[in-house]
Amino acid sequence: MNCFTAIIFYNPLEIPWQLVPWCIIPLCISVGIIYKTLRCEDIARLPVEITKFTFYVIGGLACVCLAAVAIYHLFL
Amino acid sequence: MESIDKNSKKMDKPLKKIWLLAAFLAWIVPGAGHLYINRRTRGIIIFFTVTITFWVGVAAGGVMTVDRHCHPLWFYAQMGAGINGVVSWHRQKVVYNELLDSHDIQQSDLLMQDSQPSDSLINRDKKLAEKKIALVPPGEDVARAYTGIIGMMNMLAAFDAALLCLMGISGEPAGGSMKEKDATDQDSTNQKNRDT
Repeated sequence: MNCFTAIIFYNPLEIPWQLVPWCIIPLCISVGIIYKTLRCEDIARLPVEITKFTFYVIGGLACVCLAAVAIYHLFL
Repeated sequence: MESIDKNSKKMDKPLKKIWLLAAFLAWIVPGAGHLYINRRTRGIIIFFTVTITFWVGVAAGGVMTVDRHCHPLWFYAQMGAGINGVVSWHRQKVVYNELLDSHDIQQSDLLMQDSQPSDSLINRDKKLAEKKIALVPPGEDVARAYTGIIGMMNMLAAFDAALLCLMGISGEPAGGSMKEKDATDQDSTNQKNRDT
């Protein structure tokens, strides 16, 4: 067990290129949790607020990505 | 009965909090600043989120994720994660010192020339790659984004704890959410208008 934990925090993981865009989702969730934990007045509404915020961020990023792809294909 | 009265008096008396201590606690141990201002649930949520995300980043990038010499701006962001960043930096320094002792790399390899990677820095990266501890794309970006961004989010939490402390706010806010409050306020004003 110690050997395994030493290896995973010592040697870098080999992440395939195809997986990299999906790595943004856990990061968005983490940012959403911290931000909404600070901002949300009612702690009971926290899960709903975090879910909404995460979808907004991921949706916004997807829109920016689509716009960039469209500009690339239409103008460049 | 008297003891209950005494306890209630103690609870009512506001505790004087030091905002600098709240900020320092919130930085060094993520979430501790919110625990200090009696926002226990929020403190625990912040602690687990920051710690898990930071160490997922370190797992993706390995021991060289927190590197002061190669990426100073990312380093400052990573240090925002408090004890997580400091422990990670210490581990990196221990490994680096071992490599220096074994003459695998030189101290001069750490220097940057005009903020551009020098040849010695590239050689250093090659040597780290031989040891299988160098950060390689795309894991490099994932690791730095995870650790750096969550470090900055922890700084935001520290700022929030300090600000609440300065404002003299302690404990969870009373009542429901702002929207609910607004709705009840709107209802009461409508009722008053109808009465008049």
